[in-house]
Amino acid sequence: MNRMAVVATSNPRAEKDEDLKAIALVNRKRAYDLLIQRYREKIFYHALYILKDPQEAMDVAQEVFIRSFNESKAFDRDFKTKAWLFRVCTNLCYNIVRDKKRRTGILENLGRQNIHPPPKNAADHTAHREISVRMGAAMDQLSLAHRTILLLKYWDDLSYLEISEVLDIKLGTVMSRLSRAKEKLSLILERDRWDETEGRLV
Amino acid sequence: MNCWRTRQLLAAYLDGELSPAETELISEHVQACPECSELRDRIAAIPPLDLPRLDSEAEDEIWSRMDDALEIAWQKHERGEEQGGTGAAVLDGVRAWFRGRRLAIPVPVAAVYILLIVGLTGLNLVTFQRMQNLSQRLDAGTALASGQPAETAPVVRASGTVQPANQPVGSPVGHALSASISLPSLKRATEEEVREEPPPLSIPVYDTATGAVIYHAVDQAPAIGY
Repeated sequence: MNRMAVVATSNPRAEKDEDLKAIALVNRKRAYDLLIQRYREKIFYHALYILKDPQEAMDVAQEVFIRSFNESKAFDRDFKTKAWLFRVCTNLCYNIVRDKKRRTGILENLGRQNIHPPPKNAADHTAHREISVRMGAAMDQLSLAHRTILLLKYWDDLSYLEISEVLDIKLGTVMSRLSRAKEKLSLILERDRWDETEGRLV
Repeated sequence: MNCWRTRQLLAAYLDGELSPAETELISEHVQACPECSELRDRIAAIPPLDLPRLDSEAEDEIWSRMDDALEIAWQKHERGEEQGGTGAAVLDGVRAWFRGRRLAIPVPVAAVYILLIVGLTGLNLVTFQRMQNLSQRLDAGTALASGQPAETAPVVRASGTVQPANQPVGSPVGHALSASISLPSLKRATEEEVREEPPPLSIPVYDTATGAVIYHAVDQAPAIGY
């Protein structure tokens, strides 16, 4: 379980989305506050790892929640809150990536240094940090679709069913795409080695 | 279960997302197939997806800015100013259209063009007005030079010397000047001077009946018998 999940589940006020729905019946504003508190980190980092630009990721995260204000069914009993939030977030990110590609004509390789800059001093660099930087660099080399599905499953903790709803694909496609993404990620991790002295992948 | 199908389901197999029957089939195939077994080991060895994060200071800044923006957005939403409706949809459409396109002319160049057009139009208007004034003044100057009545005479400034010998006896001074000075030597009268009503040239006549002095206009003065 990653750190994100620990943060999210440690909130004692509303353990599940169903709790938020109950609160919304009494105080809709309070329910939104809790919703934002619960999902802002996940949504922001989801956008950040797709867009690789903190400013753009923040704009997207804000837009996701603003859209949720205007979603009248946001706290309906059968509304899939989590899947809805990640679907809106993913689609907004895809729009931005598509626009960037159309404008600049280059691949989505912008702002990498914003998220995981190479360490300046290897001595104060923990092993944990090293792994996470290495994973980030490996993820960057995956295609947008593979990166997104890995994020949804292993960073955002969505179920296979939720992923199929977010990406609007069949369950079988979720399984095969995840397998293919992990296969590629393992190849990249085996191939690339983090050079401590140079502070980059070799 | 073949290799192709196994490769498709390996992630779900390792995540425990398959039915017991499917799990059993994959297990059997992986045990029998060295290639799939090797792939399974490789995928299982991938460390947890622990990605780098921004430092806590940057995070706090982002959460704070997001909270502020969302609070404002919520208040707008409560006032019924949320995005939506035809106007907003049209605006969104226009924005989306521009977002996807690079303008043919860069903005600074376009701004310079607009300034140039506005500036030149303004200059033309000013020039036109000046030309109108000039033409009025020229009309006035031409009228003076062509021997107008004595009313306009005082505004003429002579730059040359006037020969008193050429001055006809009894004729008004103004007439003498205008007649003897050629056009190029005339100084152009200002607009105020042209408009200024010159004092009428009058002749004092002593009325013997009343004993008073009466001023008569030149052309209306009664014949005086001495």
